Amino acid sequence: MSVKFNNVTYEYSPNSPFAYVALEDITLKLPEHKIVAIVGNTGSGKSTLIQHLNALLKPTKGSIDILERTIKAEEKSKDLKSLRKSVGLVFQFPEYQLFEETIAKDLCFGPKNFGATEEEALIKAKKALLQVGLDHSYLERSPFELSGGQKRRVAIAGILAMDPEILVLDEPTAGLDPQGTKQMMSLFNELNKKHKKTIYIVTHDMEQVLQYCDEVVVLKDGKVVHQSDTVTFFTKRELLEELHIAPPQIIKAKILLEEHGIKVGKENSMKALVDAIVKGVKK
Amino acid sequence: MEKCIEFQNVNFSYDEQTPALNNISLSINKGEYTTIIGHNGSGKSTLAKLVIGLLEAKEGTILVDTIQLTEKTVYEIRNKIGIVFQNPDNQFIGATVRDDIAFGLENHCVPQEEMDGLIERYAERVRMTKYLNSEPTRLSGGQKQRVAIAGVLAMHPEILILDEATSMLDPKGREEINTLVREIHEQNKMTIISITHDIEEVAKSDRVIVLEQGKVRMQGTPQEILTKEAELLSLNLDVPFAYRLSKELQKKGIKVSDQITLEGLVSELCQ
Amino acid sequence: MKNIALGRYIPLNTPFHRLDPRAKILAMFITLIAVFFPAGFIGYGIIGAVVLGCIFAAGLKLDFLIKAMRPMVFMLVFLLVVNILVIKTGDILFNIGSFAVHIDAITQTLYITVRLALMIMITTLLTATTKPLDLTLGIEFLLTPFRKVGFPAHEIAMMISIALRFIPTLIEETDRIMKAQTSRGVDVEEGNLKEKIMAILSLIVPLFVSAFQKAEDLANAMEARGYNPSAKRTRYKVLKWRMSDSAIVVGSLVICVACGMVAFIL
Repeated sequence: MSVKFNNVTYEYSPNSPFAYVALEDITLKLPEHKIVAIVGNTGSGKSTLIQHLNALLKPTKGSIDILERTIKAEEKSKDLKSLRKSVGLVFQFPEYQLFEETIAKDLCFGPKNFGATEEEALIKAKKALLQVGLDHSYLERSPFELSGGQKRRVAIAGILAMDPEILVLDEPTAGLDPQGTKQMMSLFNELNKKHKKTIYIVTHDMEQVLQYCDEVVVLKDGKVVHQSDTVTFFTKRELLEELHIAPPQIIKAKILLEEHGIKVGKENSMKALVDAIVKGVKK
Repeated sequence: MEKCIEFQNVNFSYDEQTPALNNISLSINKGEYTTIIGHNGSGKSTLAKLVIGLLEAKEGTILVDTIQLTEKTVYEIRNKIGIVFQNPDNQFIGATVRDDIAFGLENHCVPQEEMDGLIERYAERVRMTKYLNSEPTRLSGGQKQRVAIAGVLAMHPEILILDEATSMLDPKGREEINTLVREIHEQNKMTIISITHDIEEVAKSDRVIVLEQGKVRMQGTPQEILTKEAELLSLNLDVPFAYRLSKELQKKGIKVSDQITLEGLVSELCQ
Repeated sequence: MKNIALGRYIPLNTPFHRLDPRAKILAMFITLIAVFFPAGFIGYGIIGAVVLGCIFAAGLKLDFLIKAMRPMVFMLVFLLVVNILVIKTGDILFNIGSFAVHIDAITQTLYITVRLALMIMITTLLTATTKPLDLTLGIEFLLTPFRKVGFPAHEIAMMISIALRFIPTLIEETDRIMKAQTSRGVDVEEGNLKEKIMAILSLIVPLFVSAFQKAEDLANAMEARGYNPSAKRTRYKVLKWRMSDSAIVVGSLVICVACGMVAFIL
């Protein structure tokens, strides 16, 4: 288990007229080496939750165990840097955090902040750039002359260069076109499968959840209302409806077929679907 | 079909080397729901910005309702077109919902006495009456986009352009906007142009235009376009899931036509 | 950062909130002028009493006022130190080692403190009871006569209202970028000068890029909705001048004249 939330409550501007409870008594375990989707509508507390993972926010109540460390409410945490190195947090629209003149410098920024030397940082930068599918000819270019999708890759590479154990991403494909989205998602998939990174991803795109994620955590009004493996998640039709989640096409097809009396099994694949229809129609 | 927007051999480029629109000609029919698809950078948003005169074509002619877009006619043309952009936050001008809807009315010199009536009417139309005095920071993305639509509708445009208006919204917000736009299209017979990546929305539209590298690559009904698998794949675009399923079923000997929506496919199967 | 009280609007519905913004702006300026008269502590006593009365009448709480004044503490401490070092007139109050602290240094600082406090109280009274947009509207109306000599009253008012509209958005954005860079190991409190400069750059450059993007989007949205600064527009918000508005302006004039007279007598 890499992350454990123990009765975590988080309140913004406590004791003020603007006080607002964003997380309410959350107890949650997030597994290692998997891709976990964190799902929920605006205001459900997703962003607040992930900001606890590298202690940008600290619980108002409760505690969190992250990679052999414990962050407790009302206790001053020391050496947060080492935690932030191990948990790479990629914010939404990360391209807005680029600031250096060259991509190489921007990629080295993180590693150097965490104590790497110039040479070490550059090695990490080069490796990260390749990981996001850009070659070394980009190193000396300005990040600001790239296309939107490329900028985002570079920004993500900036986090990868820190070589984190856990990668947390907040809607990493927002605003990308379907092709860019696919490339981005296969990148995370590869990082998980090949480089054994633990990946937690906030997303609204259910096709991504179905295709790439092992587990799903659903937040609503600051509470965890569901946690399961992906297959089970998509069988909870009422939950999907309640959350206004547009199900992935395969699931939608299943729902429509079942309404017409054609039963499809648990498996979510084109083949299962076709077989069920062939069987159902012949009947 | 009456045309309401026409591009004739339009060229545009942001810099010298790469044209954003390359000698483009196309037309949008009045009263239709047209979707425009293509990769980021294919020129979709440039197209929208040219129509309302935010950008100026280097060459070619743009006609809106048979009026040629020039420096003199640009304000007249902007009266006919409402546009909702991608980022909900960056197009909210007023301090409150009420003020934001009023902003457009002020620009159109609507007499002050009539404003409150119009504001309330269109706030109700987009189901935002409860939030009339709310500030933008208190609203969700979907609510902000609904306000943007109200602001546009209050000016009685003939054409509504949505430039990836739902791409930054959560599923709930997206559903709200899609339903609302569909209602407006059906009830007011308004011409809708939606720039989108949502293949389901495309399948339900009247016409599709596919852009690639500043050129129109395909145009036609969704049924015509979305079933051209080879061409779509060569442009790195997806065919609808329903179409792939239809093809798989045909291979298994099931008699089914090339469907582009799951609803259509299932109802054909279960006849 | 969300706890800044200075300049914040407090949504209440008191008679003070309902006053015409033009009246409030005029009254504020007149009272500020009064503060600048060297009317001594008597004059400041008069202003202070009246302004405090108004502040309570406007439903504002004391702790809000204290919060609004907090930013000036640092400045005043600095001023006190400078004054103690520089001002060598008046009786010696006490000695710190061989260093003499003169009484004038203390009275001077006190004097400025009172003035500053009054100024903050007066402006807070205005900003806390007037919606930013009404404030802009008031400024625009007051500046309209100057349009004849080419002063861009409308444009300036529009600029201010947009700036006000985007302040919360930009604060959110700043917070987000700061957190994003903190996630990349930026630590503003630690590090040498070079690292600190880098930390600030890593915040400022993205903030500018994002602000420019917002500005461009906003300009597009405004133009698309038919905005043309040089064309005729109608107005949604109209201001109504009532008896109470005249009363507050006259009231502030009385204070100003009174302070002027006190200053003259002194």
